[in-house]
Amino acid sequence: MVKTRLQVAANLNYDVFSKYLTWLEEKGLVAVSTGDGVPSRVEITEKGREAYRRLVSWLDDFVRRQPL
Amino acid sequence: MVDPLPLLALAGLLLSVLSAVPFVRRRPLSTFSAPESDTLAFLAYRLRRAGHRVDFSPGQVKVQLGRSSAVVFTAQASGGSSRIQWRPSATSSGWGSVILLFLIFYPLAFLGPVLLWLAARRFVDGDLRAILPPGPAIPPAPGPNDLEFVVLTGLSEARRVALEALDATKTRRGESVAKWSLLGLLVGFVFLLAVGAGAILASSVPPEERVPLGLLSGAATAISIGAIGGWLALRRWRRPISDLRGWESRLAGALSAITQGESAAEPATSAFETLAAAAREVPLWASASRRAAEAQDPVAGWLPVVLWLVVLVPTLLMLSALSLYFLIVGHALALPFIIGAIAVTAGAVVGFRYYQRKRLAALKLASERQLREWAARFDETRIRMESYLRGL
Repeated sequence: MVKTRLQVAANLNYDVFSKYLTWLEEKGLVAVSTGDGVPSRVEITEKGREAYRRLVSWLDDFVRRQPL
Repeated sequence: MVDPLPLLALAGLLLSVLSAVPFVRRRPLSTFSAPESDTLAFLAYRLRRAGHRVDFSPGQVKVQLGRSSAVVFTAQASGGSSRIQWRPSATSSGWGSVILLFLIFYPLAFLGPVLLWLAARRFVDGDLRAILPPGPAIPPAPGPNDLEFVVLTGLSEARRVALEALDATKTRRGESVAKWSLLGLLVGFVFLLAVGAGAILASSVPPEERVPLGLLSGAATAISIGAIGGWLALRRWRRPISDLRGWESRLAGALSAITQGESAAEPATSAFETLAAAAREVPLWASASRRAAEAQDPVAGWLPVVLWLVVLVPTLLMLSALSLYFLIVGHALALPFIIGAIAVTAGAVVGFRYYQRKRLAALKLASERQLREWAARFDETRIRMESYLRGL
């Protein structure tokens, strides 16, 4: 995904978005590719996919078991 | 000449029966090329995204449109597709109003169902059409492996529970104001007997003016104390209602930030944090709704109040009337009747409060236990997520 498009989708300003993206990249959850004249692209890695799956599954489990 | 009144009454009854027909007859909405469960899941998702109050249970989606009206959607398999149908419905408060209207003046009872039907019809033809795809194909609804779907569902459910708790709390406030106003009236009446009537007797008011004067000052005292009782009850519920309104608005804001993509430099709290904070409150909201439902239960809620009204109030009125009579004629028998009236009032207040406290204490214990268990699960999930993220 193009980096600027991801920033728009995340509804964050550039500074905050960059902070989060750097953290994700350092942890190996995403890979950022840059090239001359080509917009930077962000791709989710296999580790990132696995982390996403786990976190969402825990959250879903929590939300579904609300005491209603 | 034929008397028109019975004919009008019969017409009213017939209209009431006819107005109930749309509530049992399902009307087709659209046909989509997907299985029933997927179609309903898609519909629930779209309605939640549009900020509606959705209750999605297997086989049906119920949308609450206001304090009284609702619409129920169901799906029926038709070849490889599914046909969505709708019927108007009502909330428990809406049904209560319809029944009350029927009991009070049944020839006009058909107006309730007609208004509910109109509200449902307006929603289906307006808001709903705007969020449904034009053709039979529906895009796959995101599932539990999608973060936005999970957060949106959680926020929408939390908002629904908060709104139910808000409605329930408002109902309890109304009951509480009515109860304390009535109690205030009775206490005011007895207070008059003990103090006011004695003062009238000791004054130089001529005997023939004592009855109207006594009745007037009695009514004024009773109404004043009743009004004070109602006002105090109103004050007691101000804070819980304002808290619930705050939560509803916070959850609606978080939902709109997801669905409308409001620009956020760095929001004070993210949708996830709002969901996490609301999750801590959910057991309390569910408990508030249960308490209100229990108050409407005949055995636990209504019966003691009815017994109180049927047995104690007439006894008290009789004792008060006799006390007033003996006071006016200046007979010594007034004293035991005054003492009796005060004792009955005090006994009724103490007994009612004891019963209520005992009942609420049991409910509070159950809620606290549920809250502890829920908080433990919340912490467990949070710690699991944090330690996983730290270990990456």
